[in-house]
Amino acid sequence: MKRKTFLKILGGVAALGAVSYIAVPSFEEMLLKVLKADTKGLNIDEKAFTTYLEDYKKENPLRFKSSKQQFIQASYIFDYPYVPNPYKHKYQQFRSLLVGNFLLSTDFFTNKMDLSKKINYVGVYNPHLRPCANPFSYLYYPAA
Amino acid sequence: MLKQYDLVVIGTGFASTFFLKKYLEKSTVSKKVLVLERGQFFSHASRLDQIRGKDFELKNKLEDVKKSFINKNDKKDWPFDVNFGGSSNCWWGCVPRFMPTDFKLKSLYGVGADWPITYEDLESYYSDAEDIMAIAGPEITPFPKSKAYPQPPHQLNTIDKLLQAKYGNQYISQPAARASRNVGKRSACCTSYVCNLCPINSKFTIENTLKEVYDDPRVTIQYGAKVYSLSTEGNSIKKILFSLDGKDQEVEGEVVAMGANSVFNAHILLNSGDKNKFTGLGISEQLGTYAYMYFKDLDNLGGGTSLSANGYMMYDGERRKTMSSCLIENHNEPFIRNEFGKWRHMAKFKFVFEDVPSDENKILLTSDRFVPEIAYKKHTAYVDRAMENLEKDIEKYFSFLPIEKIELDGYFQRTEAHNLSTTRMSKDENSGVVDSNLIHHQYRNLFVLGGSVFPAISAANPSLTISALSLRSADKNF
Repeated sequence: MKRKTFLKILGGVAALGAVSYIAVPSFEEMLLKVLKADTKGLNIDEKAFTTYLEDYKKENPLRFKSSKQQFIQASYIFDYPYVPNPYKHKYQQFRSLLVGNFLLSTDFFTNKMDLSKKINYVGVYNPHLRPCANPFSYLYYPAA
Repeated sequence: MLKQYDLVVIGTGFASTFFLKKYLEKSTVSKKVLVLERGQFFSHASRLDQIRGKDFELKNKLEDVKKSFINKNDKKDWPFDVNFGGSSNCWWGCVPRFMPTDFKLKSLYGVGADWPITYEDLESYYSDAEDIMAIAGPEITPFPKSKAYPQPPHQLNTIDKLLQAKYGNQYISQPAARASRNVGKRSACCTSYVCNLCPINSKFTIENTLKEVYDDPRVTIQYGAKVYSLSTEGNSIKKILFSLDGKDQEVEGEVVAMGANSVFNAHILLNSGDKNKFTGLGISEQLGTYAYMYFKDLDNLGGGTSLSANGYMMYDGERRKTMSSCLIENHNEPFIRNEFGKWRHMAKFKFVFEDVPSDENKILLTSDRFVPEIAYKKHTAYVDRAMENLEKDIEKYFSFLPIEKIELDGYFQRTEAHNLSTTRMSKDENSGVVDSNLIHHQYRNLFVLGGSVFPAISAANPSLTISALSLRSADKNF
């Protein structure tokens, strides 16, 4: 089954869900829930989430097409163990990109993932606007 | 603009620029050269303005590339840039050489076609092209080299180091046109992983390194000149026909060097009535697929550039008699593994397979003289067999790493952003379009330059080979 076909089926199910008064979150609402869930256990300044979301909306740093956003939303809504999704690994990869962009927008990685430090928002990770900020590169881990 | 020139060059990408550079070096000061560039001078600064959402120069003058050809295959994309510098603007700066075996695919493996030249014929021109582009690369490579790379290699990441320790010269820091040290107008790469438009101008482009070629007083450049045909007289090209600001124009050239790309080189020849039976046939490119590897207690850190390494473990050998060669790329992207405490316990590899040009994939004329059709049906079974074997290959070559799980995309990317092989090089006109010096078999004052001349395409990225071929062609003929 192709991803577009899968998306159409999920879209149909989502429409049924809407008829049944199941709330469908917007992409931004979903993103906030995803970020909070997937960074649970990290000591993140609460303001970091809201400021990031505002900047994400302005800059769209990942340049996701609407079809990709819809796929992520549909997969998120039906992300239950008993709902089969042949593209679950793709959903998880995209979800990792979202969480990754958020964490790259903080000082978590530049602080070498030090769990003892409070994590602060530093600016949305967008290399065309703020280049040379890859915290995993040789600039942060030079040859010994 | 004059009515007649010693040389008329079509296009300003890798193929045309390296050819013109060598031509100017070897020609007298009295020569007159006209360059017909289809697009505009869309500068790096303006491109950055565009991507940053600002107003930018030429906003209303740029051509929509997707409308420049017809593509009825909804599974394929054919991206390229039609402005000054061509695809040097949007490439990623990956410059592995072809391997010596790539030039002998038919005689060694019984597949596809041999090139009419050998690796040794091209070797010194590879070195020249690497010097011009200030390539960063390793001391030891799987292909023979007579000269060291001009810049030191980019740093390997922690995963690369393990692979290099295991495979030696079969796994190397990727030769890159992304600078490892500041050079000329270029900054050292800082691994932003947005090389299609480098924010710090690190990768080689025609604009940042070879614009001087077009500033030569012998050269006149005309922007917005859309070449659609060549008029012939006997076995020579007489005139170049083009449209400028919607008006038809023509100019005479004693010699013509056409370096459009594989789509438009073939299209212009077909529009010109070229009767060579191979013109337009064989459009092809490599096919790539991603694999994600998740590690136990192994961080992926310290890589020195966007694509940190190339693996050659699946490139050559007996496998190539039945399935494609494969070049491995380590994509050193700032991804994360979305699991607490395992944030960088992963790697992302791309496996890039060669295809064999097939005559059923071709360039066609349409009712619009400016617009070709790319009639691409499918890649060959040679690639499919390599894809089917990929899981086993990964097990064979990567299982020594502490892998927790592997995710294979299982499908090919829509494009590798290369278009190749529509005017293939051959010993004679019964097997191809141009000779070993890139001169058309029939029209002896016409050079056809670029990836369109590749008889076999290799798994390696083509731009360095395109550049070296152009240097060689101009060197041999002027």
